[in-house]
Amino acid sequence: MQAGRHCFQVLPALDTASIYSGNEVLSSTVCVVDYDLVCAAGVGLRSLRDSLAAQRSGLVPNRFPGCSLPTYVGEVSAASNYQWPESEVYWTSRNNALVELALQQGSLLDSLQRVRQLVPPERIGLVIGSSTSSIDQAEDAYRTVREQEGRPHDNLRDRVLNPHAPTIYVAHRTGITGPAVTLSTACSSSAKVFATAARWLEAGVVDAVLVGGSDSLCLTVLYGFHSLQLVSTDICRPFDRSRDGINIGEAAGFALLVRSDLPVEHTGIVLSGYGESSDAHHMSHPHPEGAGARRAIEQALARAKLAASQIDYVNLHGTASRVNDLTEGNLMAQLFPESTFMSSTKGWTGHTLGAAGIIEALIAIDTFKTGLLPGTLNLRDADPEIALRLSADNAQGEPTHVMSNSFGFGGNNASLIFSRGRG
Amino acid sequence: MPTQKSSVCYVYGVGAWGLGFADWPQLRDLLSGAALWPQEPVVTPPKSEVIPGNERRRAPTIVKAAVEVAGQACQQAGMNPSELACVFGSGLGDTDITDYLCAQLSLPEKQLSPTKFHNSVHNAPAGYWTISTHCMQAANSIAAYQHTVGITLMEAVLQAHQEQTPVLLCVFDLTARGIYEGIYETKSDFAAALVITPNERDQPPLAKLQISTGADVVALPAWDATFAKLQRSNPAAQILPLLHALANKEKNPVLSLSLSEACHLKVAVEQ
Repeated sequence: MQAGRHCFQVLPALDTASIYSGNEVLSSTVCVVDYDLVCAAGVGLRSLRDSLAAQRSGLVPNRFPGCSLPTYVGEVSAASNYQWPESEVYWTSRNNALVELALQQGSLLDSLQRVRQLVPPERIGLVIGSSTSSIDQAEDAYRTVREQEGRPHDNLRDRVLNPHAPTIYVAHRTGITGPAVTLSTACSSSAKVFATAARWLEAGVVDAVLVGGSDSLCLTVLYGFHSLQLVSTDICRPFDRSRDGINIGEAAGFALLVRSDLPVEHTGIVLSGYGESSDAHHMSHPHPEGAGARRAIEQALARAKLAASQIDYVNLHGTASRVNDLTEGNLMAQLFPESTFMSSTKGWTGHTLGAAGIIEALIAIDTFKTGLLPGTLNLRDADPEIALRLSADNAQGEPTHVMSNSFGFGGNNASLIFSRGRG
Repeated sequence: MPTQKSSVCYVYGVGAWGLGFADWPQLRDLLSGAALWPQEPVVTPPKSEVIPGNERRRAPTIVKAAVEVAGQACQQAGMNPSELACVFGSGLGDTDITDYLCAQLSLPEKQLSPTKFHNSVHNAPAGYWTISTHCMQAANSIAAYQHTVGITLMEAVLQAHQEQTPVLLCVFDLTARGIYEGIYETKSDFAAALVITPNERDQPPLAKLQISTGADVVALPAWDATFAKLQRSNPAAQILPLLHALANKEKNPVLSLSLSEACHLKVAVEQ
């Protein structure tokens, strides 16, 4: 796969009906109305686009308060500085701050309003992924208890100190009152949100779904991944010969989804396939042959009625851990032709854990808008053990189908395919 | 705009575990009145034999509880766990392990056990289950606070239909520990599981469930104070009215489970 890949042939706008003809599962198409995000490489999509184009990483040497580990992190400094309005102080948490910042980006809230003209709040669903929820607040509470020598803390906020916290906050903030769920499957959490949303839309339980994900830096994940010896002291180098671990990042992102039968203007981007599977192998090591990941990818392709060769860009999980990149790289080289442009973008954002799914799905679909295919940032020296050949450099293209993969602890795998359809 | 769509599923297996009952037959007897609550009900450690011995030692209690009831439900259904997609739900997650992590992190050394860290993910129960049963199907791990049971059931039924697959659903919440003791009322353990199929199999089901969504809440009949308290204080125990209907072979009851503050899942039971 050479750097600076030529422009893809311009294809006619894809007829969404042809994606689904004969597909018994989805009788209507899931369309993306709008999307935006915050991450270390950009607060808002526009800012992220600049960072991607300039190959400017958002990773910085770790200075996270209370954490002395030598590593790089993907920090969103706006989350540290976020000032909660007095009436909203109940919701204080780093995770909720990231959620709030992401919701404020671009035209997301305006698009939600447009959908609200057609859909009452109880017919809008919320499906959000997170692994940390608001554990930073629990960490604070325990420190307080210790410092105050056992005197009880007063952090009794049941709607924040709870794995469902980010979704409760989004419901509060947006006034959405439909079915709401937090998916918490580690690194695949906010990829699986698309599959659940598709099911709810297909069943007619709701007419729109706000999907998203949010995970924050906190001591638990920094020291937790460190205890597993998975964290690099250097900037992370996905697929590199000398890679030696991940960098932890924080982020939040959202996408607003509807069925194609709702008369609302949307991006022309559709969710054309998804696959979910388990490795059935180990809590923190992936299946050595990537059997579960393969299954999820093949399921997504089958649902989209696409061959692997039709995927124009794949956003890899590519965490820069020794074992993930080896397993994933060899699997992808088996499943896809050499001409498929793929990359890990964790060199820009870090591994954003429960938010990785949404962030990387949005990076993948944004290639439809920008024609910029991000390379694998920080890759210097390809690992000869990995059959997959990647480029650190960005490329230009006119993708029609893109894929994003996320593989989480517990061997939980998700694969998503998005296509550019009728506008 | 469609207002309601319904979906049907068939229940073939039930598992249960908690304070005073170690399996579904024991809980069924308590719910039907065939057995009386003991003076001092005890919690029998969940056997969770499905987890291999050396792993079982290190598995958190919440994992063992979930795996135990999942195993019971599969056994009753006579179905191979590796063929079932799974949807696991917990309202509070593992407060025990969160307590450990946060307590350790409040110390200067901040040393965490790597095993405990990877066991702290909300999907540890689903992970242990799929690993122990060699199940490569889709697995989900849900948190929806007091709406967890409704959401878990809805997700399981929709997935069963759209993927045409049997589904194992499992809900569990344990006594809140550490700082969470002061935040949540959950003072006893509860876990339950159902195996459901989208179509009827050769053998008759335990029950047929028809679900639909809407805003109506179905009033609960008055019932045993112990169960009412458990249901109120333990998010996973929101499934009790459904189990009560199964235990008492109630004639076509209609139940509701919350999906959010404003909407509910209506569950019509036929048995």
